[in-house]
Amino acid sequence: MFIGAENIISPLGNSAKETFERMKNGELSIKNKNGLFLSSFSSSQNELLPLMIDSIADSISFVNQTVLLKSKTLLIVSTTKGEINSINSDINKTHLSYLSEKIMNFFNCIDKGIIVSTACVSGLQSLIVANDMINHNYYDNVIICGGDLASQFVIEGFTSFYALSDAACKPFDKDRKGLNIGEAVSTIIMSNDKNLYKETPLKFLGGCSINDANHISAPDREAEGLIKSINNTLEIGNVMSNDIDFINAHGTATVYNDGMEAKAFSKLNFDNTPVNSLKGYFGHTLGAAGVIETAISLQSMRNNLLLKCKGFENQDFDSKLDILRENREIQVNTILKTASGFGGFNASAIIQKL
Amino acid sequence: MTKILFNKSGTSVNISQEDQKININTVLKELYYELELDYPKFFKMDNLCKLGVIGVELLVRNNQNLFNGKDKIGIILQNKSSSLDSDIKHQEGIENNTVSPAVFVYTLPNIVIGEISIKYKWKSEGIFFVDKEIDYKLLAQYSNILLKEKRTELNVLGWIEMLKNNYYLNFWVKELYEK
Repeated sequence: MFIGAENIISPLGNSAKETFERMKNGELSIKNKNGLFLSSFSSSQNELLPLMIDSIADSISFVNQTVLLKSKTLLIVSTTKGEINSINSDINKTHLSYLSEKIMNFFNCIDKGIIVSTACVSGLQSLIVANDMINHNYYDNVIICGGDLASQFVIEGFTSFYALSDAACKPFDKDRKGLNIGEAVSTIIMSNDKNLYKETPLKFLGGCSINDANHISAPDREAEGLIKSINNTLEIGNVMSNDIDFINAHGTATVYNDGMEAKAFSKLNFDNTPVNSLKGYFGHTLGAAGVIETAISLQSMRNNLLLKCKGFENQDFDSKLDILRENREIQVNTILKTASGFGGFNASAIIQKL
Repeated sequence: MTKILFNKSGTSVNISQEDQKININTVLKELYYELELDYPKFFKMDNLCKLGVIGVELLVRNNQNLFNGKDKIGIILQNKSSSLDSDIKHQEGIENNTVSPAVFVYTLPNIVIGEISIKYKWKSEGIFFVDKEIDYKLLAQYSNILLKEKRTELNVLGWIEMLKNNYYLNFWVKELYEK
């Protein structure tokens, strides 16, 4: 299916282009806030809904409205905690369906709204579901909007896990010490109609999400789940592993996650394929992660420019992976996006130029 | 205190509340012993996960012929309150300075799919949807997609709601071709 019309609202900008430009120049939004390193909006955001509406509105501005209105459109909201900041003041808002209902009321082009909530793979899995729904003719277009806020709820939780880094995170680095929480909202539109897009779209070839049945909060050290997920995705997309020009990994910068991913990529003979994680720029954006990282990767494909893996300096002693130390200009035709998360979920998808 | 109902063929199970006054922890513990689950990990789980494991156990026991020998079993679940039952506990922890990772890890609705996958060693597709009420159409659509594309051979799908003392579960199994 066609994919494009990407928007990003992040501490690095209010559009995908702006965010990409600033990342290209090496900017990051992870900052020390009273000893806590996180990526947050300069004006504190208590609610997710207004950001999601702005993000979707910007994405819709990149498509042909008459085509959109004439066809059947699904909304997928990807979030882990939604309006969790309202848990004490208005518990009804914390029901995730609050978001999809309000968004549907706002945009008259949406026929139905659903919510995917599968921890850190929510975003990528939402794109996979979107592709599946269009492929099987249930919908013509799908608007995927991922978002989460850097709430006290989440920060305290990850602190109790000792998962947070005491500095800007260092994905895939041998001295990585944990993740930074980030907040962002991102929207992508998928469609069976190329004419929906004002700018040339790309093609989403498919993906899947496989459970590793290992542990609810620790990755499988043998990376079986992620390997199976990538192998299935290559088969679904009818792509050979040596067709992959670039991998945008999950790369949270925790010791075990990145070790697991590196193992999977190595076992699948991706040692010579450039890899990055984008969490060194804007942290782990949870329910937004799969969408925002795909949006930046779409920008990389459009610009034939891979972004360096911000925070990465030194290779793990047993890794031979080509982790991007600098931005790299290459022809990017086919990319692999992966995500792994709590609950043992491992998602992967392939995107290709037209 | 709890009503467990199967459909005629045994491929669908309902667990519903008969008496709201009985504490949910008592209900789940009694079901565990009645079923002789013998799975100590059960007691670490939050109530959403405990209910999910019990629901799947009932389905698996009644449908050995369907589950045996299958390698790719998908799990497609949905509820209204996501993990709000555990969210409230974590929020209390924040307010009382007693935050625990053992509570926080359950503040995601898809953990129930993780727990089911671990218990039954199912290494396949899984997804968690959230909506105000059960969306049979969406669940059927996604189940069909996975089965038709042969990404799964059998799916467990349904609704699992848990908030404070209120719960409701309705799971069923689906194959590509009905017998």
